[in-house]
Amino acid sequence: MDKNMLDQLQISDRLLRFMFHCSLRMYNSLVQRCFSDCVDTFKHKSLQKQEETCVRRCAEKLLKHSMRVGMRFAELNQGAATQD
Amino acid sequence: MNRYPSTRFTQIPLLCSRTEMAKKKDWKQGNCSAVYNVSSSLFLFYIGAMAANVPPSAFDKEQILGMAEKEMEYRVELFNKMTQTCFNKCVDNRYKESELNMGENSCIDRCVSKYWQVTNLIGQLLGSGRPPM
Repeated sequence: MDKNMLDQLQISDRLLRFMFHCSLRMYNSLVQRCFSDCVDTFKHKSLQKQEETCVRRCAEKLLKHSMRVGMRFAELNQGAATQD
Repeated sequence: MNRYPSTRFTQIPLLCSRTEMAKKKDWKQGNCSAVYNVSSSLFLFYIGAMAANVPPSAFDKEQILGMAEKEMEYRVELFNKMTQTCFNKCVDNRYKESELNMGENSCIDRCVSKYWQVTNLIGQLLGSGRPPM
């Protein structure tokens, strides 16, 4: 039974590493999207007030959206298990 | 063998804490922080082999883990694309406020549901094994 526990721990370990990799990807895509949606002009070197506000709202919206989609996705996954 | 992920799922208890696993709680009741759905045939084969104390051959295990990993990658990719697409379709780019309003919320719910239906439909169409036109 020890070996089985080891296998399951190995699977969890791989999963955790994969999830870490995924959150890094999400971070990058968040930055890219908010940048392309909010920053249009390059008259100044530093971020303007309105650009900063825009980026904050964009990030919050994206995260909330992501959470909501995740919730619905999980529900559908569970649903698929019983629908059959 | 159907190349496309099966629509029958079993929950595999990943991300359970070690104490939860040791106590052998009923994982289906969601005592673990997250479960992951793996196609049931793979799951049953592997777990059945372990339960019967017959170690699956090294080759089988690698193959099963590889396939499970591929399936997980597929699911994550599906989730990512779904998130991006529904955001593009439902959320206004001007970011007037930081909260999602009622309209956006219902749009997101419907978008996810439709996306899921389209995924299943295409899976069926491709999996029916018709020769490509």
